[in-house]
Amino acid sequence: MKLKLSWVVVSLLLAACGSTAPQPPATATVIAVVQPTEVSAMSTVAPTDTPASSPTAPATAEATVAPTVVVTEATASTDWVNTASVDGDFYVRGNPSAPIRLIDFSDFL
Amino acid sequence: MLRVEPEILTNYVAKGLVSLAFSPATDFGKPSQLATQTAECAGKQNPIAFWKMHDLLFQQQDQLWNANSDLMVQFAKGLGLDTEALDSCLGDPEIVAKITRRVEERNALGIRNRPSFSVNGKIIAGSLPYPAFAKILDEALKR
Repeated sequence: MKLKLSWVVVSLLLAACGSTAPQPPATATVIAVVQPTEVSAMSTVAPTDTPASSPTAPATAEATVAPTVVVTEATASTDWVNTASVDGDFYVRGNPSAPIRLIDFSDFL
Repeated sequence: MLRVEPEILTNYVAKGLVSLAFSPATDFGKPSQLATQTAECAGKQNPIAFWKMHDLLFQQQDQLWNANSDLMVQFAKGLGLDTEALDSCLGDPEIVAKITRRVEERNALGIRNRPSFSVNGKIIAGSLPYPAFAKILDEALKR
């Protein structure tokens, strides 16, 4: 009987220990939080690889950025006031592809 | 145009939104013709030189009534142009023909007022204050 009682006590202790056992899921949650961080860190790398349809991914990434910068700089930095071209009988001042052509019909006097 | 041109240059041309062209009127005979020929001859050396000369001629408008080719050569010298080339160009029949052609085109458009303007082909007669000009340009940009 004494032996049976001690078995019950041991079982209860084991059961008590077992109830704390579900803590690992909490640890699993922590990992899950960490994992997305790692994934997002990787995802910043991923776009470089995304245009991997072309042979060398890093070169492609640079190529897609570089022309955009060049175009922006060309548009922003062009000194249109001091740019002129010839269009038929006219000397055209400014962006020859400007949406508006303003013709001044004037006399110098 | 002269009065509002600096604002149009700053607010529209510099931003690549508007390009300018100049179509001469030679209503005052010889002096008008000489000034126009000078600008055309400057442009023959370099398109932007046309506009530098255009700006200078308007700045020195008071001197143009009694101007001769010597003064035009001085203007060219001040702009760093080839003065000999400009001097010999002033009598170039091709330049004279070009000016005549443009004056005839202006007449054919029925333009009588001076100055008059064309904004993408729409004729505006007479000078306008800058706000009115800006409104026309802004409306044209929306189209």
